Amino acid sequence: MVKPLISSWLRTIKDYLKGIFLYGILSGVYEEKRCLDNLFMLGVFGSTIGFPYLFNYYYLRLMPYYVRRFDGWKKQILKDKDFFDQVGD
Amino acid sequence: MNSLWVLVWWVVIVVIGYRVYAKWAARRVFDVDPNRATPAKMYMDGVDFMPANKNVLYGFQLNSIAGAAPIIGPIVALQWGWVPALLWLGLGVFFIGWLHDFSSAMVSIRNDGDTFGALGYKLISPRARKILLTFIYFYLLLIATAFGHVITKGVSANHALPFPLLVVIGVAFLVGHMIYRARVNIIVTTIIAIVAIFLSIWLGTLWQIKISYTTALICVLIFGYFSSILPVWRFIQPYNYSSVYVVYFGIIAGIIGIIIGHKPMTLPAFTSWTIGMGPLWPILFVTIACGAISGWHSLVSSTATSRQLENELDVRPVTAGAMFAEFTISIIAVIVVATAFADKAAYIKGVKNPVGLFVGGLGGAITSIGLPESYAKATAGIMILILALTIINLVFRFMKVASAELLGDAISIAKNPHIATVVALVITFILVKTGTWLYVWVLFGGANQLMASFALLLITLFLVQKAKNYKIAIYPMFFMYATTVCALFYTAFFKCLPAGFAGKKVFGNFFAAAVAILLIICALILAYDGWKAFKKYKAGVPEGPPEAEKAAA
Repeated sequence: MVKPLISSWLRTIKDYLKGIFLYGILSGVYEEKRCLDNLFMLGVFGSTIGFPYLFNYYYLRLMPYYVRRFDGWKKQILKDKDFFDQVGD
Repeated sequence: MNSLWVLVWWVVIVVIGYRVYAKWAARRVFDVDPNRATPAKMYMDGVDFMPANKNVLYGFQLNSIAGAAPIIGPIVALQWGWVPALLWLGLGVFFIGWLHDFSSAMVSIRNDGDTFGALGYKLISPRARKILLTFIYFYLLLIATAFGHVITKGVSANHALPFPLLVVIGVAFLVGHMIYRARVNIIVTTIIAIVAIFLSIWLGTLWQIKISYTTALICVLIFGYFSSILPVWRFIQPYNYSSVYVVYFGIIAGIIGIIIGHKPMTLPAFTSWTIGMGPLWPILFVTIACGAISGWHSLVSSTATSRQLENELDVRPVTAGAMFAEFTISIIAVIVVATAFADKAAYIKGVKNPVGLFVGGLGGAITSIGLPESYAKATAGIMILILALTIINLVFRFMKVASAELLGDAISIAKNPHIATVVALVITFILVKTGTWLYVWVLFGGANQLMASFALLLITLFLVQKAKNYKIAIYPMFFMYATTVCALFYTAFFKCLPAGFAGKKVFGNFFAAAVAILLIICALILAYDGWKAFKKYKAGVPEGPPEAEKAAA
């Protein structure tokens, strides 16, 4: 009874501390990763959002592995960017 | 009166406000539904839209909203006495503050994670977005001026602070490089950063650096230039990450010190209805912004947090919870300063340098836990400078983007990030050097609270549109609108302009008055458009963007 309660409290404190100290910098790491992913996706699958594609061979070979990402990627890259979205760029 | 009684007031506000009022509003007014998909789930992209644990988000939200303002505002407002300051802090957060933060996130969540620019366009009018941007540019200018002075004055007046501050900035660059480029383990990086910063605070007490006001101001603006131009990962994020440890150390040590010391409140409970800055209403209500209610929070809630909440049930603990935590920080600031000075004269002497007042107050509280006085005071000083620099970090970046958005189509040079940043820096330099800081602080508070009024206007329109009980938001909105417009009007016409005509800091006072008048005009246009939108939604016009309605007509 006491042990699960203590572990739940410890988990909550750990999450609070993660939010206060780490969350901002982790978001930065994810943002950096997304920029690289965007470059890759644009280079290989750019045709799906209107860019001319350059490498037929890689496009077809990689398509099955990346097809699940297309929906989210298109939403993110084609979304209108408001003033507030541009501050972090 | 013993300062521990203030903690009773704090407990009453937090428990009833959070557990009763906020819970009721979330259920009965906003119909919070745990089964409704949030934007974080619908548009998950792994970065902007990403479901996160509510406890993690709570920490993130608190970090994003709690700058130097919840400390400086109450310290300056103690000129009216600590009773009015505590009353406004408690009643402000109870009736308006938490509601504003919570509802901003809720409105954004129910509109696909849209930011306030897009929401203003959709709910008020197409021109609302442009007016909001104009307003935000000058609001940011006032922030930069107010906090630019706070840092400059703090650094030039306390010679123990320049060295550790330089180390904090250097450590930020180092941390950014270690994490993002050299791929060093984050625990190792964190330990190096913490040791370097705390060691530098101690060394700063030994190696004191004298620096003039103008030199310090130029250094602060150079800092602002780099934080605006460099990528976020290179400086802003590592700075926020490495410096936050000092801030929380200061807060925790301060709380423990207050409890151990439990000193009596030595400043007067009430001084006068009118002081040098102006009458209690409306000036006190804008002098204390953060801690009671702040427009900045609506931007954080609607831009970042609303896109990461995985469940509507989490909105209350994250947004309202963080607001009540910020209220707690303000209460601590009131206690440490109201108990630190032997009499009012000693406090009034230092009111133009709030960093000095806070250092005296919090430094004294930290000394109660056994740290040497010089180290405790340097820690308190660095803590508040770090908080103020966090704001400077973002302000010029925002201004750069805002000027590109506003003027970019007409004047292509405004799109150049260097030019836009330098223009913002030059205007700030002029206003800091020529303005009267206490008036600028009131104007900043007024602009900040006016931003909150816009948020409450959007919330009211959203509730009317959805046929919900909009009265919960409309009365706070009326109060905030009236208070902030009157405060801006009073400061412009009864303080800045007369001072300017009397030959005191002529340029700065006229410029500040012009900014205040511009903000009032923006507020009146938005109020007019908001009123038209309110009538439209009341009459039951179907929802949709203004262009669609025009086309349909």
